[in-house]
Parts: sequence; structure tokens; C-alpha cells
Amino acid sequence: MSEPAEDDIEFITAPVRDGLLDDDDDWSVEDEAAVVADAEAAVAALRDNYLVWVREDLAAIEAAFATARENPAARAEAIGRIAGIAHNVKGHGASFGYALMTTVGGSLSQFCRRVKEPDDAQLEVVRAHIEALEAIIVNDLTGEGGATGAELVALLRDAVAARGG
Amino acid sequence: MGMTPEQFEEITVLIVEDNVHTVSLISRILRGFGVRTFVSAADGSEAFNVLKSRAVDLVICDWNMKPVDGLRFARLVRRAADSPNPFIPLIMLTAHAEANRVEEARDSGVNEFLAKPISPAMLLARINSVFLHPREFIKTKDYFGPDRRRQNRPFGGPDRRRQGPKEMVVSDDEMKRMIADEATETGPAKDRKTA
Repeated sequence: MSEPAEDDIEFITAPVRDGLLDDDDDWSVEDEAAVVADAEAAVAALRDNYLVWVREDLAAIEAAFATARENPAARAEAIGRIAGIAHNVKGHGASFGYALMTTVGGSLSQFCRRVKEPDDAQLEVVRAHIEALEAIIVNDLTGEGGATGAELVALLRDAVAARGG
Repeated sequence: MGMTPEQFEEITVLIVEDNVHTVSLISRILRGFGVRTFVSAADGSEAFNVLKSRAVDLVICDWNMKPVDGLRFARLVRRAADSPNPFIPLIMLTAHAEANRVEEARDSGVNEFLAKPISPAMLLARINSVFLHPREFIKTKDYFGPDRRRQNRPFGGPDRRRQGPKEMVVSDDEMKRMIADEATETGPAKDRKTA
């Protein structure tokens, strides 16, 4: 492969809108920490909304799971739908203090993407993830969920390993 | 030192995301920083039209969207002949934080990559980075975007960045560090100007 000559590479300083970033020498690390704390408080205020959102996600996952179980011809499409919703669960959980939701959602999404069209035994692994998500909500398992969370994660990891995910 | 609330008040942010809950989350965080003016779009095509219709200072963009995803949008912004602002700062969000994903995003011309779940501290760090420590832009025959090297050091050699993993300018160790950093961090066009 031929390499571009040095003359073919142009370095450009990106323009900045006038007045956009006037310096403020009095701004301190403490000020910045206060801004982050304000933003974190604003996110914490959304936590009740989050629990509504994640229940909607879980209901959609359960509906897709029912389709996958009852209609083998639609199984691959339903599992793909679960993978997508679980991916969103993964992306939101820890932002609202539910890191375990992110872990379980990530595991479910990854498993569904790998198996694509699961057999009945692999469907049980999907079911185990759904039950874990329900347990997190019902028991309000914040953070990593303590000992219960560790046990759930270990059980899911073993199930995934056993069923070829 | 980071951007001040007064500086945040001056910027207009375009959030490109098809999940309304994520839009709520991001806009809530940005309001906490001091941002007052938001625009949102549900995919890359809609976002590109927003950029053509109004001034925007920062784009925060999801990866997975239809019909035009974040990667294609980034390439459009950087390279399309009718791009209204090829230099606009672009932060890519995704729940996929694998090394190849980071590399793909980087090669599309994004300034920063942020793995979901989003935290206010990490989003602030990315915004500070793009505005206060901007990298130079590079133009070659097959790339236009921020310098893909993380450090601002003099460059005297040829562009070898698309020749394979062993010749990546970001070292393996540095990529692993970026992934580790991401792993520990814990969307119709609408104007949303808050009071």
C-alpha cells in the first residue's frame, strides 16, 4: 500500500465562535464539583421516572419472550427484539443508581445476540435473565445489589456458560 | 479548569438520539451544567437537517439509530460537500464499548466517545475536552476530522492510520486504558429553551 506524502496531510485549527469560551480564571475545581453534584441531583430526581421506563422495557421483553416461546417461526425476530430492549436497559441502569440492571441487561443482550435463534434450553437462560430483572425491580436492588446481586450474576453467568452463549 | 455555567449558557446542544428516555437523561444533566438551549433529532438524517437550519455548538449523538445511524451522521458532518459545519464538536454515545467500536467511531471523525451508562462527571469531562482542549483537525484524502492521536505532539511522518492494527497511532495500551476508563464510567427536531 502506498503511503500518502507528507504534503497530502493538512493540519487545521478548528474555528471557535467568537465569545463562546471567554476565560474565567476564578472557576475552581470546587466549583466544578458543585456543578457535577447539581447534575447528579437532577438525574436522581428522575429516578421514579426511570423505574416506570424500565418496567415498560421489561413488559416489552416479556411480550417478546412469550412470542419466542409460543411461535418458533417468530423466535429469531423476537429474540432480536429482546436483545435491542435489553441493550437499552444496559445503557440506562447505572445512570440512575441501578448498576445491577446494567449488568443483567448487558448479559441478556449479549446472550441474545450470540444465540440468535435459541433452542428451548437456551430460552430458559433468557427466562432466568427476565426473572433477574424482575427481582431487581421488585426488591429495589440499587447499585450492584449486594449479596443478592452477586448471587444473581453468578447464577446467570453459569447459565450462560452452560448453554453456549 | 472546566467550562463554567456562564459558558454553558452560551452554547446550543443538539442531542441526536431515538430513545426519548435517554434524551431526558442527557438534557437533565446538561441543564445541571447550565445549558439552556437544546435541539433534538431522532436520527442522523434529521440531525443533519437541523444543522443546516440553525447554529449549533455541540452535538451529542447516539450510535444505533434508523434510518441514519450515528456513524454515518458523523461522516456526513465531516465530509459531505453540503455540511454546514464540518468542525462541529461531536461526542458519540453507545452502550457498545468494544475496542473495534471505539476505533470505528474515531475513524468516522468524532471528537470523543462516551460509553453508556452516562454519568454527569464523564459527560462533563468529554465536553470540557472538546471545548477547552480541542485537537487539531487533519485532512487527508480519506479522512477529515480531529487528530486521532490523543496527545498533541508534532507529526513528521506519513499517515499510516488505516493500515492495520499494528500501525494504529493509538497504542494498544492506550486503547485498553480508554476502554477501561469507559467501563468504569458509570433524541424530531424540537427547540427546548428552558427558562
